[in-house]
Amino acid sequence: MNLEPALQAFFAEADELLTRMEEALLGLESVPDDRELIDEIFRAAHTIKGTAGVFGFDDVVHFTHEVESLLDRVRDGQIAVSAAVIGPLLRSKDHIGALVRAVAEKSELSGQDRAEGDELTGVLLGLLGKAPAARGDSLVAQAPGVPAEPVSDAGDDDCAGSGNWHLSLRFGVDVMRGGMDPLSFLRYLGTIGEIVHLHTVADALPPWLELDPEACYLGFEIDFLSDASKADIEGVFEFVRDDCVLHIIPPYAKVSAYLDVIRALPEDDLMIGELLVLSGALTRAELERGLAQQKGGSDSEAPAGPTAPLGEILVEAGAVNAGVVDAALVKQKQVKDNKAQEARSLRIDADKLDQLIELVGELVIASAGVQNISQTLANIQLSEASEVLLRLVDDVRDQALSLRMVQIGATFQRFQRVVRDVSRELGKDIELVISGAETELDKTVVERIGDPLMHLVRNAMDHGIEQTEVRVANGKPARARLMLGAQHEAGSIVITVADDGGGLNRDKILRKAIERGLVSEDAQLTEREIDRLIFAPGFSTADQISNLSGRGVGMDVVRRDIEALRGTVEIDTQPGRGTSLSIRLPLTLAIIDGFLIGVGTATFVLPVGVIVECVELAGEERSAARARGYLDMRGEVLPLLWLREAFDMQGESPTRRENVVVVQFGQSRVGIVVDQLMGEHQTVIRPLGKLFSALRGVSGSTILGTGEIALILDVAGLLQIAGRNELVSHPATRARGVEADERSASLNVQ
Amino acid sequence: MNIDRKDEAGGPIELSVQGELTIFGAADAYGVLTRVLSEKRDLRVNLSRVSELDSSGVQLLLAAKNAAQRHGQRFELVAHSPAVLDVMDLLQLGPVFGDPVVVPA
Repeated sequence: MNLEPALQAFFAEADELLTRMEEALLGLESVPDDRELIDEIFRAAHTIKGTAGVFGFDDVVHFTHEVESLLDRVRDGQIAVSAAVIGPLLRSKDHIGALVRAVAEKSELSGQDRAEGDELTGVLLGLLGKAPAARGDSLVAQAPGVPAEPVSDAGDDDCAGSGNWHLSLRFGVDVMRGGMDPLSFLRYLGTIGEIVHLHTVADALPPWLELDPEACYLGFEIDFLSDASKADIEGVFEFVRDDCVLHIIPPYAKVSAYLDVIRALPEDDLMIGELLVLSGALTRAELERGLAQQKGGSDSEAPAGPTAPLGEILVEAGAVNAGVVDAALVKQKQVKDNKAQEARSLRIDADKLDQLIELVGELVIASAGVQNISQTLANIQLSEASEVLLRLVDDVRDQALSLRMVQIGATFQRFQRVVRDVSRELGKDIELVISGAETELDKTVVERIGDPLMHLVRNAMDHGIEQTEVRVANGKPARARLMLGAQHEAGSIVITVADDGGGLNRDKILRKAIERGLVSEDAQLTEREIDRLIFAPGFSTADQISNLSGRGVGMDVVRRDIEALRGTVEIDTQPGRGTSLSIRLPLTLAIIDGFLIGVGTATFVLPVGVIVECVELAGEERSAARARGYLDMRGEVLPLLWLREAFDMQGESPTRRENVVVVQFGQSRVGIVVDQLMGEHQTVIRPLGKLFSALRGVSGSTILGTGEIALILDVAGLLQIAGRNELVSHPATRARGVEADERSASLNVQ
Repeated sequence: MNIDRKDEAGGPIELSVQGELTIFGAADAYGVLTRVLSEKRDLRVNLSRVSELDSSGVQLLLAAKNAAQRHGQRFELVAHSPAVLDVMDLLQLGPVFGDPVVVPA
């Protein structure tokens, strides 16, 4: 049987559960006696253990079992919630994550993880008041659920003689269709104890021609030797709970308990009775006496009707306490809730979604082609039809892209833990404030923004926020604030990492930059330029390299990561008041609204979102701008970038006039000088090959309706080229600037 | 999953199951077995190339045996593969099928 999809679902689910567990644990720190949180943590651990068990991931099961035992005690109020408990639980959660990851990657656990696991097991057992088990011991065997005490009175006729559990199991018809194999539950059962005797009950099998090969007709009578608690045994069947009839008879149960089960089962009473005798659960004498007693005895003792509803678990006397019943009820409710949620949402393979987006991309290109032809033909009916088509394609595109949109909240939540751990390590009191968690952006972007964000958050805590004493001395609240926010802004999303710390120390940054030879000693830098130095490769201000940051491999990597997502990062710092870093990212990586511009015979695309306006450049103004390198825009200076020269393209500029496209990016505004403006265009972004990875100023390519290729301009990159080479300052220095820069784009499009 | 059929003159029909005898091929296997059972002849099922067996496979074999026996035909399982033995062992089905099993050394 191919388990791969089910496995993937398990890994995804474990991930979610662990995240929830962590959130709940962190919540528990501030509200130590929140019942719901404790239950939530317990359920998460329990579900992971159960599913891992079904798949036979013993390492995960064993370790999680100890965690669950501890949580069980906490839930019963036997162990109070305190830092001494939450700390190990948080680490345990990490370790479970490591174990699951190891399974997912089919790799061995690293020595470090293994040591952590051993240490944690010791800590957990210590908390449980048990001596740490020797390695290799079955930890499950030490489960806290102590089986019912053997009734010592040997003269009690009512007591059956077997020390085994007896499980009576009938699977529902739809179990196999639901993707579960009864065998896997039995195999899992075998991991928490010994299956002494098992009888496969196939009496429900219909005659051959009435058989539905995909339905399940099997049942099992099992004698089971284990120290596991009843809840543990029930837990094995948690995933078929709603779809099977399960009776569990504890060891040394009264004969009547067996009789109740015998009556509740659909098969013939005597047959089951024989089975029990056969398996050694009952002696023949006990059975006969019992059956006779029940027949002649009081009807009031008879159990409720023989037709037990699906999923009902008979709670036999003795081995069950009220807590277990409560837990079972809660679990059942949770399963139902989950089902309701599943009905509303659908888990889809990300690859399928990517394929869909790709197809939509092709559709957009094709429809652009249609529009192109309809414009050439100038047939009114055709144009109308193509307009409708275009609008629909637009909608399809938006809908398809929105499928990939996820909220950034989950990414932000992860930082609760980071902030907690790091602030302790640093001895600072830091509070994380999250805003805009519901802001949506492309899944790919969310996945790739995690690392840079982590770096920024750690940096802010390590360098940005002062030691508590310093804060108090400066009249600031002792508890520092770290703000993580997200919001939409004109076709992009802005993620902010802000702290209320000391701000950047510009003197120190400049000194260090000079020390490291990043700038010359006599350089005259503006405040913003100094701030940006922290993004320079190899820059670090830390006098001491701490555990967290300061190794000088940080901020330039962050910047590069963000630029790889076609994003930019801005710093805003106020000495003594704090620093705010804004990351501006495109909403999606797949399709943009583009604006076509032409230089010579080549076509380029600019993202519409960055364009402020377009103006004509002709006559006297043109020659003046040519000489000065900038344009007088209603009294303001607008630096100009001649695209033809920036890309070193051949051919003469048009004789009559040129056009200026005014683009804004972040806080800078630049005019890009081009030959012609060609209107808006739905642009499906195709990445450039590896060969062009060093190319600046171009972020991708696209195919136009006519089948031609157009390069997509990367405005941030262009601005950088312009800034570095002073392309915009004077035409005479322009050409030299391009040559001087080894990394600049030298591209012969024609 | 693949089921090959071999007819011995005067002997039983031998079916040879290859691959997974699981829920994914249950409907196909049911179809093949239905056709064969309708011929009312003795059956021998060779399990040497079964790579995986799940509950649906077990159930199908049990039902087929019942059906064959009801019509007075023999139904035997031979050359159990390790995957089959594993399941037979777990479900303690040896006595139910009653076929001699060769346990690999």
